[in-house]
Amino acid sequence: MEKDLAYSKPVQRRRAAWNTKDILITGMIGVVFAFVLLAVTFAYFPLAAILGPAYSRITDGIFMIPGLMALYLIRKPGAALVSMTIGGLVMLPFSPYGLIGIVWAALAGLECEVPFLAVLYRKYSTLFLMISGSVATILSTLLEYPLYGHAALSIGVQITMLVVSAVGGAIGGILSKLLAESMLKLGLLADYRRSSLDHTYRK
Amino acid sequence: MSYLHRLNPLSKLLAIGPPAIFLALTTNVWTPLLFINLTIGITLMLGRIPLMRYAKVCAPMLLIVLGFILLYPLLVSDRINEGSELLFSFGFVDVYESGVLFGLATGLRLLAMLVLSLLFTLTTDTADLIRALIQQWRVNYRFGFGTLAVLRFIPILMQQFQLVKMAHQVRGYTGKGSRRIMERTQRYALPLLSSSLRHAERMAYSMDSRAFGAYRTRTYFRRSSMARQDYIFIGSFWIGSTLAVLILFHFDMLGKLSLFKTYH
Repeated sequence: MEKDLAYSKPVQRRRAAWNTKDILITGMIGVVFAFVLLAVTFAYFPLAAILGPAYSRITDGIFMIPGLMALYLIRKPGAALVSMTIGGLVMLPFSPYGLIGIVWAALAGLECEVPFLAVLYRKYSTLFLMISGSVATILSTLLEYPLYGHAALSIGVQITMLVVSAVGGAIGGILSKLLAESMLKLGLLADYRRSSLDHTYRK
Repeated sequence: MSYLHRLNPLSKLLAIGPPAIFLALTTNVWTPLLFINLTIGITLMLGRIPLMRYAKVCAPMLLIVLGFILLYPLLVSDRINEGSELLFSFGFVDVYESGVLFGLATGLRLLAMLVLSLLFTLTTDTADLIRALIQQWRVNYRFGFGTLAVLRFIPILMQQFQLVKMAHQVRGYTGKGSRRIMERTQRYALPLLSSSLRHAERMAYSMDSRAFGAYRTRTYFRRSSMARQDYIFIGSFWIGSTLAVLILFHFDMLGKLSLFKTYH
């Protein structure tokens, strides 16, 4: 105990490292969207009953919004993973999926990171957000195979499923861009204003 | 506080992890069925969860599972249906026995994993889990306590939602009608999102001003550690599930194991 309280030098962090504000803003995006996603999760069941398991995947993109939005605003590696994991933690007591839900959320965060990692977190255009949304949703559909046994469905259904989820991901990409831009336009988050000034490359 | 409530959150995670991974590999009906019964028994007895509460939490899960059981027989490919008995045919829809079995297996597999995770979620406080993750699994404490700070915001968020609703009502906006779902989303989502982000910003500044994250070492008020009962629980849970699997194997009810289910 004594040793813990002895004076030690404050930690020096690089400019690119996460500061407290980044952590809290990312977490807050996760928390707010956790409730939206919870509503979508419950709305999904009647939708799946009407449209069938293939076409109802159009909602997949909505699940990627917190990740993409956090990445777009914060522009630091790992933002999607952190915000989605925190969102999963919030949903833990309410979601019908329980622990699978949080593993799923963390995986979805990683899926959002994959396309950005491929361009070393340098591109943030609308088109790229759409593409990364599609890539993320396709990856998440592929990861469902062990759990739900999609491989037993007929090939046509499987292809429709992948295409529909890709379209949903693109829609999610546009929505996250629009939401992030409207937040910046409101005058919030002055530190992150650089996000909207430069559409393609981070200075 | 029941036995399960008193256990370390991480020990519960460790206990249910391997059985859950094993269940993801199963392809028949009996294995998940056995695990479902065992897990529900353990949760109700050791967790002292009232039966009604458990049923209430289970209801939406059962809906998901029912969806799989009812829909999959109609959608499975012909390869699976090949050589099995035709149960009934209605118009252009043919339902085969193996298709029905496949739907049942998928639904029960999912239910077994959900029930396993209920053992954890019903008996664990999220804040305790985060504390344990920070102290025992060396999760960066800035992220951990940041998460705790953000979780505290949930009740305020509910309040904000009521506030926005009332503000709309005062202006005569009822928000009824299914067609204007986009407008409704915009009217509710934007104020909520902006106010919560503003709150996060303020919270970050106040945490920074109290030197949050300035030092590498940290002291804790609530300590979290593994006790002997935790190791006993992990060990007995693993041994119990291994025994269950061995019994199933002995009676030849284990079925094939496959990760991607492309075996047919």
